[in-house]
Amino acid sequence: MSNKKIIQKVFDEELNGEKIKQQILLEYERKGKSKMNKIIKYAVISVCLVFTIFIGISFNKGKDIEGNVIGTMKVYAYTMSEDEKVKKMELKDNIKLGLASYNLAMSSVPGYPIEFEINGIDLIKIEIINGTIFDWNRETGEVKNIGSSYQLTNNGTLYFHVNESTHIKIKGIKDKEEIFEKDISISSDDDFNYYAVLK
Amino acid sequence: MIDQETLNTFDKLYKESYPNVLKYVVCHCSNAEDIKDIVQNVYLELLKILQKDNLFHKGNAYIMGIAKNKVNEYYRFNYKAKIVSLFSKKEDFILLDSIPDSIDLQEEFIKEEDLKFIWDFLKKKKVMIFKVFYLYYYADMSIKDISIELNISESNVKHYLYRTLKELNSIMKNGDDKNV
Repeated sequence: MSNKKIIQKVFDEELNGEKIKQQILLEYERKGKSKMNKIIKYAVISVCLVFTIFIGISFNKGKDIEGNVIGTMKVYAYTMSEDEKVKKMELKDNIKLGLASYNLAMSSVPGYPIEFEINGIDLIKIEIINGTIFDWNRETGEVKNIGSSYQLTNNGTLYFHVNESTHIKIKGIKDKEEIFEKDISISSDDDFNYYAVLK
Repeated sequence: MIDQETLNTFDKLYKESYPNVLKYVVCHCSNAEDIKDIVQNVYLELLKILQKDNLFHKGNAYIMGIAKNKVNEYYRFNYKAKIVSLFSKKEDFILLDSIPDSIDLQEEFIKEEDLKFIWDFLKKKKVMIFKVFYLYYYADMSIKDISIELNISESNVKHYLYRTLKELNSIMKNGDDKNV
């Protein structure tokens, strides 16, 4: 047998399209199952959390905490863990967080997603410098260009087109008064990996 | 679970695109060991897209776009070696001009003894050798086209083929001494 036929046979054995396809389908099924397990796990955690909050509220009943409530905000972004999973992470002050890979042609989302969770405040004013804010209706897939500023009155996720000099300024408003101001600055490295820092 | 309609579309797209995707991944990988993983990532992404969009009608170019992204992503997030130039080592500059043009690459150097052994041998060689073998023997490309595709000289392509075949032959001749 000629060298060509032998080497062809070697590659055929190892890179056989049908074999690889079967592995891909099995892997897809396996990932689907593990996703379902995760959903169940998160559902159990959520129930436990609600139960814990309920117990907490019951214990605090009658205490006047109204005067002590200070409005807060939490900001979450998505980063890529070492095992290639997209992970939701809270942006903490002065901690640089690598943003998960996002590419217009590939991604199913319209920009870098940032989730805002507000507590005890009326709204947050978001303003982007050197970038654009988008809203995305997951149900209809409709993407809306919001421009450079937005007011968020509930918890929600907005999508951002950014570059290495983008700043996202966030002001917390309660009773028409500004109670805090935060800034998310975006930077990038030579490989076009983007990072976010909350200040 | 994948529904039948999605599976049919996937089968069709897979069949059409697999040779090109495989060739792209082989030509752009940093390690032969990564090829199957990257190809798998490409088609898992395609399956995800098909599950969301049953009316998916984009063709090969789109799938090649996914392949490009997956190769980049794989090396970025696995912290593996980036694609490096063939000429990253000084020794590679020694283009073996002494290799005559008359080399017969079809001459029978190797025997069909152990396909798995040959595969392991090729995988352990420098990734550029693996690429040259794949393109020459499997993708049926000419030496000239391979030199253009991999951006190396034609004499280097010949050199890799000739030297590796000879080495393989010599190892296989020694029978039990198959420790590459």
